[in-house]
Order: sequence, then structure tokens, then C-alpha cells
Amino acid sequence: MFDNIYSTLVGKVPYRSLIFIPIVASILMIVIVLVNGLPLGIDFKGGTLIEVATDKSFDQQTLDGIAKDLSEIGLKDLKVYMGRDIETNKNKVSIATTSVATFNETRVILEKYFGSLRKTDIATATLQNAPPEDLSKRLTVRLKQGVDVSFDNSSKVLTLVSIDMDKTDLENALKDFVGGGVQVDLQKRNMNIDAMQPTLGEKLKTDGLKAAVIGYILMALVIFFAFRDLIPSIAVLLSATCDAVITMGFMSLFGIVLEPASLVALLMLVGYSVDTDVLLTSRILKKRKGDVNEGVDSAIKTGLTMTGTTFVVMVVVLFISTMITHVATLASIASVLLLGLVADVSSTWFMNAGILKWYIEERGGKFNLFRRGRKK
Amino acid sequence: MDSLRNLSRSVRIWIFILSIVLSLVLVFNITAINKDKGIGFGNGLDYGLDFAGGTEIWLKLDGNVSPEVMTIEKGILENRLNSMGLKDIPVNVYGDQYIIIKIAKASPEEVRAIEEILKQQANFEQRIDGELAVKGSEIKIDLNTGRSGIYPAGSGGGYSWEVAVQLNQEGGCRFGKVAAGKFYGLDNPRNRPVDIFLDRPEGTTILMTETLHGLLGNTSSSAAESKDIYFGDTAVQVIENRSRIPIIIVYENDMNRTLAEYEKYDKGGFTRTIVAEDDAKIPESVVNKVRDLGITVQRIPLSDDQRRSPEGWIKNVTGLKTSPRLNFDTRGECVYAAQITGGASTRQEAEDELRQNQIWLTSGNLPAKASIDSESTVPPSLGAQFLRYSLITGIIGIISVSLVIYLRYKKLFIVVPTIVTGFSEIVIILGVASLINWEIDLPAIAGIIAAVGTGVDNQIVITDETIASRGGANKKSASLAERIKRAFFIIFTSAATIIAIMLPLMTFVAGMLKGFALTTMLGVFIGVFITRPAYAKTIEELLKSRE
Repeated sequence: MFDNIYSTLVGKVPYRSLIFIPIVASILMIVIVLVNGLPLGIDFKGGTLIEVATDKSFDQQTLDGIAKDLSEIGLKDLKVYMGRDIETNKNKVSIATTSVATFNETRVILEKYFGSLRKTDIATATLQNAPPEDLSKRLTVRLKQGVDVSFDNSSKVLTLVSIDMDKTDLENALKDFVGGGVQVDLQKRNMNIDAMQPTLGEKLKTDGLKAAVIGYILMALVIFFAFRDLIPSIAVLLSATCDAVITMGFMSLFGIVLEPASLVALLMLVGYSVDTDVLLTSRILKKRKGDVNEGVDSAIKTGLTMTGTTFVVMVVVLFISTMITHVATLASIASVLLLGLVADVSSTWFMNAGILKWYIEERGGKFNLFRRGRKK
Repeated sequence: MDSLRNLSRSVRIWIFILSIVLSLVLVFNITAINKDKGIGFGNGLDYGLDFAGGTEIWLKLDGNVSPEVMTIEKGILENRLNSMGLKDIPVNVYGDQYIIIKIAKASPEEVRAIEEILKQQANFEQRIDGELAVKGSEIKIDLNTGRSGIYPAGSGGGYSWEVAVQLNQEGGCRFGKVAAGKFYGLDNPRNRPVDIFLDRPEGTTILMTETLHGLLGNTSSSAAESKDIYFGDTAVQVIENRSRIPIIIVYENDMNRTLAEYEKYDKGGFTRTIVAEDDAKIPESVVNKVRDLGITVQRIPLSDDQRRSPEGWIKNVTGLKTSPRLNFDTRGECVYAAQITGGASTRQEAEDELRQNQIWLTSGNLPAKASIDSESTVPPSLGAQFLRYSLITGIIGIISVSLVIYLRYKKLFIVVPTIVTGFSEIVIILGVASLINWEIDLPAIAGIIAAVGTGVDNQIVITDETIASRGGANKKSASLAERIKRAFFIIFTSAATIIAIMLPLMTFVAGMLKGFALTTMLGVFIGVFITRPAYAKTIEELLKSRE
């Protein structure tokens, strides 16, 4: 299987034209990113993410209505969309804005749509007698989570507030601490709000870019040091760069936000991309003369297996995390990697292989400008 | 059989097996690295906010500050959190403007209290015999002059330290007036102490039995505490006169008398009370009568040790931090600059004391103002769900890798070592994480995926080179040794590239990227030095035996 892929391909299409496919694609993607912009997540630009778990289902019109109402209290760039809450398996409405908003500011509007909202779990129970004074401490130790306790002496209602409580655990704990048969009414938290100031997002973005640029330079040094040969090294770097650029273009096109998770994916991608390029280059450079096609044919078999495994895993991860588990971080990583791997196939096997073929076959493995080709 | 014997002689295989066993011991918590958890998979690991749940707060300081100021700012925040009884809350500095605080397992009320504490300036007071001398906003320490420091003390040995402070007009003049007549001569033991309080409880009284009151009324020195707080006063005087916290005595037979006291103080705005003894001495029924007056009650009983030397307890309830002795005569005039001095027997102790005093002195007046720039909460049950799902996804991911490998090679003896290597890389990464107490969170999982991904890539390279050298398609191909050498050239180059990309990310003290970078690098190192050599050896032997 997969024998002579490259020979067959360059038999049909001139290899020099293949070289330009990823380059043209990259230029196109740069234009797209410049025109369209790269959408930033709230971690990199600041803003607020509000998530509400609800039993109701909302149509687009209602979601637009929520956005409109919130924009009237000054929230900008609102995006309201439905999803699934992984914890309760209920519907989840996510509201993202570039403004910094608090719970109190948005509460009235949101409760109009979702009913009563809670940021914490609230449990109530009616007791015969006042609870022991150290109930809060004992519950905190037992449930491994801080619990606020208040007791209304006249109505004998005990109210417990915590970020997370389990009904059975709570009932068992109360049975031990205040006596048997306590009926607990537990209302789970149904909303979460995370906010970040734009200045902090800006700082994280700048730092992230700085780290990426330094990382790129260090990577270039490593590649030059490993091959000690200008043209092949440039080919590897060009290929990695095209991968990153094309992927960012895809992100811009498909509206995949740049956030820590997708930045991580971009870096993983560069890593995988370099893997196949190094494989190709080291195989080809072993034979400086003659027909390069045979070398590429053997490398492509190994390389496509490498890309293939990663690709299949990411398809699986994407499927699981969007359809079943709803872990957004993993879905984001998987989708960026998938798009990037497509770019990588073309940049490695069309461009990098083509450049090496040209270098070996036409230049004899030497590049005179620097007179640094290996003499053999 | 030959191949098995050869494998059992290989050092690489033994290192590999040993690493896995060690990692499993750590990850299963058999060494009880995490004392509060039993033995079980994953119990030896620490989980980050994503999985364990909790709240993360980013504080932004007003303007960029120097590393020294940052250290003090961090110290103040830690100090405040500690004095709230919230120990082990990590306070981390990010860059020259941000401080990150992670809170796990706190109740909503505690989180709110922490937010307040972080934003607010502590209530700093200097009092002389209970008279307010200087408030927090009126004093500042000069961090940049050479006037603060540590000096070897003269004849007696040891070290003395000195903090220079500046007072503004209002504070300086009040201090001058209040300190008048409290100085009797240089180093005279009769010189009065300048009590420094942080968050001295206002509008608060203390409830105790007559017995305890009598005991404290007779306590005026202690062997336990090296730093004297009494200065000739009794414990009762320190509380009532110098800290201005009235003591109310509980008369169980004449509760009305006690309650009348409360009512009297209530009019003066004393709405909180601290109960100094436990249930046995002051029963809950008595305390409830006080509660019925609308007074907020907090029980902070003295332990048996504290009954013998109550200084720690006094400091805790009054907010008294330190009491340097007044050592100059103000003559009632305004004072704009002063030194606070102290001594310790070792340089380290002196440094700690100096730092501590700097923190106290600046608490009322944070060197840079702080505001909350970001706050996010992950509920623990959601985090646990995340972890479960990540695990499931990982396992299905590895199964799909094995399917692709099987399709490509159609040989089970290649698939099995690949999968075993993949799993063992995960186990060893987790083992190292457990050893260095690295927290596992979502970015760490992404790092593990990245590392195992390149691992599988590298194994495919090794496999193909090995197969080719054993006479696959090309009979003239290079020797096995050369092939393996070439495979490892590819592996080392790709490892070095990944490390080059990840290294700069380590400058991220916080956020996603650091955890990702570290786990990826860890995985790459483990792959290059432990698992891939073992895999290469195994494949070589397996192919040899099948010829």
C-alpha cells in the first residue's frame, strides 16, 4: 500500500508547480487573516463569559433577544449561543462579550429569560433544634468543600451555601451532625460567570506572541544546527511557517477563536509538521545524487502513517468532544490540528519535497551563495 | 525465545520497566505522597483548578512595580490570608504587575471575604497606651534608601534590623502628641511600647468567666514568648487599655448583669463579641442570650497552653502584631521620620523579622493599589467530569492509533509494542508529575497528548527504518545500526525542535501555556531517553526472531 505515491504524482504534475501550492495558499490565507481578522477568545482580549444551564430550549430569535437586551446595558460584541452543559447534561446558553460584566449587572435581564439564577449550590432543611455551632466546620471537613451555614431561629430553617454539594452526601452528613431524618432541598448552581479585564488579556496575548516568536527563532537555530545545510533548513522552516499561516487562515475563515487552547494546538502542529519535514529531509540528504523520487516515496509512506495516526486520533477526539463530552478545550485543539495537518500534507510533500528534489537534482546538493553545502 | 533472552539482557529494557514500576507506585499513591488519599490510580497526583475545582483570581497592581515591592505586596497578601486562617493559598507573581491567587475548597462566603481582603487595605494602627497615634494611610516605609537594613549588633553578638518610616503631617503630629511623656531616657525599660495593630477588631467586646479574668489579670510576663508584649502591664491591661477591647464578665447566676453590660456597650457601637472560652465554661445557652440581643458572636477559646501563656491568643484576638519600645523623646512635637528597630540572634532571623515588619508597616498602605482583573471558578464536580472525559477520550484515542498502525503494518507484534510504549509514556509522565508535585490540569493533558503524539510518530520512524534495514523493498539498503542511527537523528532533531518551541513558553508563570510546555518537554525527554530506546530494541529483536 502507498508505494510510489510521489513518483506517480510528479509523473502527472510538474514538481515545480507543486512547490507553489502551499506558498500561494499561505499568501491567500495571510490576505484572509488581514481582511477578516483572527477572532480572539476572552483570555486574549478580555471580556466576560456567562454560561447558564437550563431545561428550556431557545430558538435563535430568543437568543438574539437576549443579546439585544444585554447590549442595552452597554455590553459590546455579544455572542449568544446554545450548547450542552457537561455536568448536568442540560442545555447551556453561553453569552460572550468583550465587555467586563458582573453577575449583578446582568442578573435582572438574564432572570427574565432563565428564571432564578444561582452561582452557588443552595440547600435548605428544616430542623427540630438549632444545629451545633461548628456545623460549618464539620461540613467543610466532611464534604471537602467550604460550606456557609445560616440558621433561622424562628422558622428553624437551615440554609447551606457552597460551590458544590451532593444531595446524598449532604443528607448523610446532616444525619450524623444534627440527627436523623433531615430532608434536604438542594438547588444546584445553574450559572457561571468568568470575567477578564482587556488589559490583562492584552498582556497575555503580547506575552504569548513574544514566546511564540522566540520559540520560532530557537527552532530555526535547532534546524540549522541539525542539517548544517542552508536550503534544506529553509525548506523545513518554510514548511512549518506555511502550516501555521494556513491554519490561522482556516481559523479566521471558520471563526475558530485564538485562545490558549488553540495557541497550544498551533504549537503542537508546528511540532508535528517539523517531524515529517525532518524525516523527509534526513532521508533525502543521505543520497545527494540521482533520482530523489525513490527517497520521497519511502519517506512519504512513513510520513503519511505519522500524519494519518494523528489525523485519525484528532477526528476521534473532535467527534467525542463535540458530540458526547462537550469539553470545549479538547474540541478546539482537535479542530485546529485537523486543519493544520491538511496544510502539513501539502507543505511537506508538495513544497518541501519539491525544494529538495530541485536542490539535489538541479543543484547537485550545493548552493553556491554561501558555499556551505556538504562536500562529498 | 532468543529474542526474549536478548531483551532481558538489555539495560534499556530494564530502565524502561523500572521507570514504569516507579511511576505506577507514585501515581497509585503507594508511597502515600498525598497523605489524605488512599491507594488508587491517580491518587498520587495533584490536580489543578480545571479538575479539582476552585477559584482563580488575578489581581492587577496599579502601575508596574519593582521586584522588591512585588515581594512585599505578595507577603502582605499572604499575611492577610493567613491571618484569616486561610493557609496554603498559593499567591503567585506574574510579571511586574499581576498577582495570581488560587483558592480551592473555599465556601462562597470565604471567597467573597478573600476578594475583599485582596482589594482592601488592611486597617493599620499604631497605638501608644491605647491612644491612636498613626493610621495606615499616614505612614510609609522608604524601600529605596539605605536606611532600612540589617547590621551586626555591637558587643552582645547577633544582628539588629532597622526600618525607616516616613509620617505625613497629620500622623506625625498626632504621634508627637500621643508619645509625649512616654519616654524616660535612651533604652530605659520604662519607655512605653508603640503597639502596631493590623485589623484590630472594632466595636468588639470579649466575653469571659471571672476565673479567666482573674488569671489574665495576674499574667504580666511569660517564658514562652521571646518578644515581650506586656511591658509591665497585665494581660487584661493589654487587652482593655492598650487594644481598647472591653472585657465583659459572664455571671451565670446573674445573667442580667452581664446582659446589662452588653446593652451599655451596644449603645457605643459594640456589636460583636468574642467568647474566650469553650462550651464547658460558657455554655451555648448563655451565648444564645447574648445573640438574642443582636450581637454577633464568635467563639475563640483559649487552649490549655494559652491559659498559661496567653500572648498568642491575645495577638490573635486583638490584631496586635508587634510592640517596639519608644526610644526617643518627641517633646510633643510633630515627627516626620522615625526608625523601628529590633534584633535577633541570627542573620536569617533578623532578615525575617525585618521583612515581617516591612509587611506590617505597609499593610495599611499597600505599596501599589490592587484591583481584581479576572476571576473564574470551576466547580469541583465539573472538574471531576472534565477529568473523566479527558481519560475516556485519551483511551479511545490510543485505540484509534492502534487501528491505524494495524492497517499500515498488518502485524500485531508491531501494534502491541507501540500501544504499550504509548501507555507507558503517559504513566511515566504522570509519575514524574507526581514526584515534582506538578498539578495536572487541562493544559497538562494537552501536553501529554502532544508528547505521546510525537512519540507515536517517532515509533513509526523507528519501525520503518528497522524494517527497511532488514531487507524490505530495497536489498541494498544500509545496515541496521546505520538505520537506527538515522532514526535517532530524526528523533533527536524533532525532540530538540519541540523543546526549542516550548522553552520560551515556560516564562509564562500562569495560564495555560506553562503547564502545556512543561508536560510536553517532560514527555519528550522521557520519550527520547527511556521509552524510544526500549521500543527500538524490542522491534529489532521481534523482527529478528521472525526472519
